[in-house]
Amino acid sequence: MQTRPHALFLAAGGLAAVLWTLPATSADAQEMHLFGDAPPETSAFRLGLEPDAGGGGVDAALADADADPAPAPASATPQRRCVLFQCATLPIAPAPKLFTTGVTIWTLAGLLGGIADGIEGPIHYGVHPFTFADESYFQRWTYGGGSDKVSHFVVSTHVAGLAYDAYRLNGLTEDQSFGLAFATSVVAGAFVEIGDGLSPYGFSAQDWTADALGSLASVFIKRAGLDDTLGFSLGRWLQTTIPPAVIDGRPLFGIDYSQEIYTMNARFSGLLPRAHVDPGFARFFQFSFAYLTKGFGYQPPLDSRYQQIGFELGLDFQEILKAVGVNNSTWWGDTLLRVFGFLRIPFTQIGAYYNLANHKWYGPGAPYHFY
Amino acid sequence: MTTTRREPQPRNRGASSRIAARLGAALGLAVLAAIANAQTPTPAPDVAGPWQASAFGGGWNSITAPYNYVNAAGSAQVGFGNAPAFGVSFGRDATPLVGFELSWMQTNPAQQYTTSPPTPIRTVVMNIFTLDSLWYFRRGTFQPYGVFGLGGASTGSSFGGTNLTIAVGIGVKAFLSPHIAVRADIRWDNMYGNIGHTGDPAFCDSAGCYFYRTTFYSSLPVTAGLTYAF
Repeated sequence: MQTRPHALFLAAGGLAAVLWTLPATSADAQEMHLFGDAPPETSAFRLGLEPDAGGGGVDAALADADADPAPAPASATPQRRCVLFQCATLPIAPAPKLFTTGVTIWTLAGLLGGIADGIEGPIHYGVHPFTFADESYFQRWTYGGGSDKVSHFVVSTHVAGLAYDAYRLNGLTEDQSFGLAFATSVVAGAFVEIGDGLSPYGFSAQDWTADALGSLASVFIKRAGLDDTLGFSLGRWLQTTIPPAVIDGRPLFGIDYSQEIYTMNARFSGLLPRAHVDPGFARFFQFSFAYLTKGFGYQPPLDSRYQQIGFELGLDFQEILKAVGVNNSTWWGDTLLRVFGFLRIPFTQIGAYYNLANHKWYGPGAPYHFY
Repeated sequence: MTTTRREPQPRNRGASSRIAARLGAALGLAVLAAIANAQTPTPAPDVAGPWQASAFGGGWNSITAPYNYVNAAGSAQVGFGNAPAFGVSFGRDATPLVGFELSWMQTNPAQQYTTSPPTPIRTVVMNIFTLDSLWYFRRGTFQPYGVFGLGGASTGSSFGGTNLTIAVGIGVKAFLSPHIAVRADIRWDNMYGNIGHTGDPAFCDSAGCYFYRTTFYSSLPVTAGLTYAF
């Protein structure tokens, strides 16, 4: 019914700290692309992946390690790549088997994150008989108006994406990483739902479907090397104030999705080079499609609740961080880039938003008010 | 509209079942002939084969409401809710381009009035059997494919019988080892219940009858699972 991303990431991050002690590896690098066997044909195609920018994830780092006919100056190429707290020296050795120590720990971290998230419901509400809940998706009568499903989707993209990068760092092939990251994220999502099934929420097939679709989207993006171009973010702390007269004393059920917004981001730093356009200063910006709801979750429901879609132009903080020297050759650099990839920073966008209830456009501006 | 549970009165849906069965049998024979005549495909170096068995789970998502429920009180739309689903499939890659598999999936959706929110009437067991063809876009350890399948979706003779089902979709298998792959599928199942019975009710209960609203009704199962290749 609801996602608690902090639990997933805390559990994953905590266990991932164990990986700090794992030895760095070195051996031949591997190819990475979605359908074809050839690497990107033009250097412009790879502009978003240059190693000194620290972008493009682990795949990009591995690609750079063996694809350049003329090696870059040593000082320009960080010799380490990190995924949160685990770092490895390039080039990375192929894993001798599927479940090496590193892969096992990352997988357990993901699964335990799901379990930690899942048991929150039974801990908070007590263990109930297992039930299923048919919540549907974006219907106006649903308790979250679809925000809960988009939340599941967005959180799962980051869980699966983190797992994919971690598996690549530990020497798995892109296909193994694709499959195992998808499986880990989906099974973690199942654990969350099993926990919900033992609480008043109930096991939601829709939540799990959103998890699976988010995980699948993420590993496809990773495997295609598009993570410098496409991303998903969760925005919180919108400070939306619904007038007390509108709420009229109704209790809020679950998460207050009026304070959240979800975006799919097209990053100019990756998008424009793919169109053979020098992004220039535009690389610090991104175009986003947004989804948000206001006034959902109250019982009885507010008549004035609404869902909105929007289009935003905003700052790309990952790219700004890279411009000031942050990259994924350090644990803190990679962590910082992931945090700013996951979180949408409030008040750094301007957009236009369409209210699906009254069919009116609002903007240009920010979607923080309750209309 | 009330939500009183009513005992169903089974209707004879034999003709549609027979036609669906004949279509399925014809497709099955064609597939068996193709398999028999095909050379054993050479599996990709890192992938075992050509036989594959899969187990999967996920969500069965109803897209359209199939029924008009007509009783003394009037007429009301009735559809299915969404529900978890699980299943297994077994098949063989006949050529590097195409594979065939028999698939069974079960889900337990509610039949419900399409009010906001929906008002459940009863929960039914739906078994979906399809003979699927998998058209591979590429082989190796990463195998995206398109799906086309035929079969039947049965809610039991008391609740609509077996409906011809046409499945189209996309999926992907990513091999973790030569024998084990992770699999994901997104399908669009179209179900047609009125073969030979245009205008007849799908089924009735003690208060009224359920008529199909449209020729086809559809669903979108999203599943993930494991495949064992051997």
